[in-house]
Amino acid sequence: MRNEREILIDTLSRELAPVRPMPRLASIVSIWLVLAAALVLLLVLFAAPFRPFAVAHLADDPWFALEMICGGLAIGLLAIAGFRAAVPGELSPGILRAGSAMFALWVLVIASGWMNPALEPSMVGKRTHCHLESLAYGMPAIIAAAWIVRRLYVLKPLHFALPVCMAAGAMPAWFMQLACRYEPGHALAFHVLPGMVPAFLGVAIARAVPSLLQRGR
Amino acid sequence: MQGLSRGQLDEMRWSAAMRCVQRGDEAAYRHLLAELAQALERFLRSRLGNLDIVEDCVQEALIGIHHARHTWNPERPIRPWLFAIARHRAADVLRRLSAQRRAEESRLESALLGDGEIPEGAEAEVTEGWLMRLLTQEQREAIQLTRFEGLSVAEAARCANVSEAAMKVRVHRALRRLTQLLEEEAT
Repeated sequence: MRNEREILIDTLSRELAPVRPMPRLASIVSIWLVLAAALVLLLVLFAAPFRPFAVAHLADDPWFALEMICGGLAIGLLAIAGFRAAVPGELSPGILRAGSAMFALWVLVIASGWMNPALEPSMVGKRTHCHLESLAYGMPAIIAAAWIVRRLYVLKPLHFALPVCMAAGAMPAWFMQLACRYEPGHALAFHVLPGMVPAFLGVAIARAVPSLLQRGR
Repeated sequence: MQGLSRGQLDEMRWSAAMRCVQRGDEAAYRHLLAELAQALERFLRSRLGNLDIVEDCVQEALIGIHHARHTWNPERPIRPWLFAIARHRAADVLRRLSAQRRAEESRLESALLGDGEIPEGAEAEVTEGWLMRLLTQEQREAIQLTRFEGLSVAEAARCANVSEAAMKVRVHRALRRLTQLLEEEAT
């Protein structure tokens, strides 16, 4: 008489179908980042153009360039950390820590502008609904990430959801630093903070309904 | 092959087999699963001892491997992938066990059982896994009495000279701690 384990092995073997190995994780993350950033950029520009001379300031003002580099790195590292958590054995606490630290540094660099702003604070480029844009424009990237991860095998949904939702939510905030008026308090209150709302929402959903991210389980 | 460790040999064999499995080779899959089941059982018993749920953990891990087989990248090592699935599936089993135990005790309380009935499937032999040694003395004793020796909570409480409520808390915390330790090992 066969034991349960033998019966299970027999069943799984008979159910075996060829599978196409998933693409390399680096490709998945790169495509997601590029498409998400492109969509956010299109949405931002569709609503209104960038602040005048915003891009030129990147070359002229090193502290502003540093601010943008920190933000860009934070988004990239958090995205990598999140998607790595969706593949068994690829979770990288080091990259997650680096992404979180870079995000904190980005916020600190913006906040340091209260004492020593990178650019002269002004109302130039002010967008009427920048807080709503920051809140909404990250949502498509979060939905796309959830769709992708259902095709992977995430063991810990929160380890995926938190960094990826933060990266997606930070993208509109990052673009708003070029598109909207420059002022540190305004950036934190109306760009970064609203950008984190979909992040918290994504995490709450992943915690409440992990099966949303775990197809067939 | 000379000079290669057991782990390296397993890595080579399992990687080659999984490539065949991804192409749909049933015979290779059957052989691989049988070998993995033994390896996973050794892996889990080294951590959890002779807990009666180890077989459940092994089977859950095999099912997880089946569902996740498309996520293994042939350019990456297979052992971290395999054992990550095994650890997390085992942690899921422990979490379910903890929840079942709480529900069971709540049913026993309301039915006013307390006659020392020994649950089914009691194990006689106690072999501690190294994760068990990371529990506190009280937690280890709670698991040993209720899972290895098969005593009811009431009997275990009497043995340990504590209240039933205290014994329930110890068992629950022990299972939760084992789950955490398994998951921390994966990171």
